[in-house]
Amino acid sequence: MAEPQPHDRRPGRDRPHAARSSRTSPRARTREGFRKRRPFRSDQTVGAALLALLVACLLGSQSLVNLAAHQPFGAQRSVALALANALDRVADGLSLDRPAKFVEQLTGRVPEDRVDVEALLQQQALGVTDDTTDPLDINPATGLRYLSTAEPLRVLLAGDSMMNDLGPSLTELAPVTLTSIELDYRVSSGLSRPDFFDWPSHLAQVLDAEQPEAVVLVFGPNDFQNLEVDGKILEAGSAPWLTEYRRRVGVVMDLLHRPGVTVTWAALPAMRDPEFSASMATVSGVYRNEAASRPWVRVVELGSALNGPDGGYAATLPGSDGTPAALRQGDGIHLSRAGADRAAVVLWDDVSERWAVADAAAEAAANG
Amino acid sequence: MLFPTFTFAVFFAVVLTVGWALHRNRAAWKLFMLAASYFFYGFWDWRFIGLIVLSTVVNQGFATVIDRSERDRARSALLVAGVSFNLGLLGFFKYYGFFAESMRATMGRVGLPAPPMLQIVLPIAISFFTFQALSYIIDVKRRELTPAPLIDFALYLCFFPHLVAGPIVRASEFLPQLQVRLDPRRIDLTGAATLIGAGLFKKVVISSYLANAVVDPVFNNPGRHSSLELLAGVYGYAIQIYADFSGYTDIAIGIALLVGIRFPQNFNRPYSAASIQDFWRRWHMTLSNWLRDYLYIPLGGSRGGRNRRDRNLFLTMLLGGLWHGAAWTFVIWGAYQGAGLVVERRLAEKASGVQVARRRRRIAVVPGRRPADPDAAAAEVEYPYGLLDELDAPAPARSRFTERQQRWIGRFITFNFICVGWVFFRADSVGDALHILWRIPFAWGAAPLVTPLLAATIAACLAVQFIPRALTRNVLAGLSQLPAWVHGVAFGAFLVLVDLLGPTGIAPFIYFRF
Repeated sequence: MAEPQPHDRRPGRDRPHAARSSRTSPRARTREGFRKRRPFRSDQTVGAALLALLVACLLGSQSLVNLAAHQPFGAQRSVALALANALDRVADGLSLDRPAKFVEQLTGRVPEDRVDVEALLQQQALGVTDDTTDPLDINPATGLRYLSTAEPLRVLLAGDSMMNDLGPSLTELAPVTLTSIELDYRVSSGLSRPDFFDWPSHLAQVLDAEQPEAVVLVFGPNDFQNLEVDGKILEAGSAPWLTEYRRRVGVVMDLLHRPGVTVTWAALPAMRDPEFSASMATVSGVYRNEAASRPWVRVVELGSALNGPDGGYAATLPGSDGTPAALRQGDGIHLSRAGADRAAVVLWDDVSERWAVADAAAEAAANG
Repeated sequence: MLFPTFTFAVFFAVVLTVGWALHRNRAAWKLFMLAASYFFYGFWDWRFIGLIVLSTVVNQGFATVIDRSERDRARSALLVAGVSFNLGLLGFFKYYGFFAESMRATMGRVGLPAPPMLQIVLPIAISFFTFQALSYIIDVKRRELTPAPLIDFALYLCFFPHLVAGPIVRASEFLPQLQVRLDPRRIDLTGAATLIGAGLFKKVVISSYLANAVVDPVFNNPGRHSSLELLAGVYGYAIQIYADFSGYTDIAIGIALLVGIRFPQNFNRPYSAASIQDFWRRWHMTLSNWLRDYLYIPLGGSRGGRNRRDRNLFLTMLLGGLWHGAAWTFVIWGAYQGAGLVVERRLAEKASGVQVARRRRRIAVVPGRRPADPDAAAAEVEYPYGLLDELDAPAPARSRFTERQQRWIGRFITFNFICVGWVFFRADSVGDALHILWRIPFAWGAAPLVTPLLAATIAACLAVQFIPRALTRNVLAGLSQLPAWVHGVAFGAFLVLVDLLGPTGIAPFIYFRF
């Protein structure tokens, strides 16, 4: 058979037997003695690539639906979601989504159960959740239990990707023997999109499972976006949006209102982009307002550690040795290690003060 | 636009389809690829396009003027200006913040008002396209290249598969491919699909898993981890950075293959290296070759005796380290590699006496590239690393071990030497790196992070480095006999598997920040 010609569209070109008679038959060898690979034509290549995309879309239709659903609310999301749902229905009808579901079950990647947070809050309001701490274990100076190496402070560090930056620095500040730290961050998450990640529901489960006592939270950078309430879109920054965002922040704060639990909530520093910085000031204002009526929550200003002398954004600030250190990552939002170290100090100071960690550390050292 | 995303998959499907539809009209193909590449780059930040266009126009201007100049002094002066422009651009974006803040602090100390500071965003890919632009104007000055048409050069700089994190493709490797017609009958679909699939698996599954399971926890808080966890963190990072970076270049090479362009190999089973020299012949080979041709040889190469050679080698590695960023960790990493290479070479020379066995192994050939300077060519032969050159190695010394045993001992020592270097590369500070290394022998205790799955993953990734090349190539040759539609279906299913095994949301590639 003749060598394939450009744009030769005769049928059967990509069948194995068609290639055997060409230069790249299965027995053909390279100079080094390796078997030669059979080349393909461009139309075959483009066809294979498009087919691969179609197969991936059908077999992974649920991933596409999730991808579309996690876009910001608006027309683009609606179109993407409609297309992805249509594809998902086709895949479902043909049972093509079964292999993916099987793998998900095999790897344990099943969605977390949702907790009815409203019902839980009602239970808490009725006082169903009791404090079981022995009064003799209460430190009169703090109103919280004494810390010891036998029973270290259970700390939960939770939030979005900012907590990924802060977590290691906070962990380093916390005394190893007196604290047990759980770092729980979700990239791109916040309180605006429970369809992407439902923090109230997740926190409710973590509170039961891990019983944290000092909770440190960072939210905000992903939150200044439109909200959806009962199918209605609330534009970011509008009065209805503020009301709804306040409510969501209040729900998380109330959820954490348990005996012997303290909450340290971070107010965000200035950001490089002035518009984004203004929106972060808005969400931080919500945190301050909501915390004002909830004494178990303290808002800690990260700006006190990260803003410049003029109170604005600072890319770098001199460290303790006077050498300038970059505080942010390339996006002007996330923290570098040096920035996280500075911010962690003000957050940890709050936890340490409320739980008298320094006293406990001194006592532990004295006891050997 | 990251490679392992749905957005990129759709983008590439369009580029592949339209690209091959235009292949008979080379000018239209180039214009389309240029537009697609700018779109790809602008997807991060449209302002970046202005920067790469500026770099393209200025470097093309320098190349043209250098080529037209007859006098060597004028050519050299123009080259100095061109190199200064490129390094200035790179330095401004990469080191501005660091130096500007130093200046502000100094002015503040002497009581002068601090000047306002610009907020500079580091443009993604700037290191890579600057290195490529440098190679272009230097090759023109050396008369190894004549300036290409502007559109060819523009496409060379911004071609989307290699734009963001390499491989660093040389002008002499890329531009000739734009001069010939694309052959629509000889596409290595099997090879490309395998490279892309392997790259995605390495990045999305292996690299992400190791980062989350052990590397990030250990490097973020070494004080909270035991010896075994620290050791697993160090070995895990060695695998993570390999999986991440080689994964990216595998995908880049595969994507380029599908659109009809061949890139040089960038990794060749580096952890099977039996010496440091051998490692650098296998790791980020395009950067090694670049440093050899545009830094080591201009510094004098191996001319001038062993001391000069070792000094040049050390400086090359030191500057290679500094290229990664203005941090002492990178400086120490570069110095450590340079010192390791020098010491290894001296020890080998001492052990084997003055005899040097000329064991020449041609590993790969660069088409159309021939050093014009005979001294440079001689130096190239003496150079201790670089995939594309011939190797001179000291004769093996007599030993009580068999050659096979020596090779395995060499592999063990080399791998651990490289891993120690990675500690500095990954750690946030020199203090952190030393803290990790210091704790490894002393911090005995429980190691809950070291699970059987983690140990198996690290072991499997190391074992893969020793699979014979003949086996993989013959298996691929067998797979290539399958019809194209089977390739499509299998690859689509594999994409879904990778998505399911990987985490939600993909972290950027490690080398994006360089």
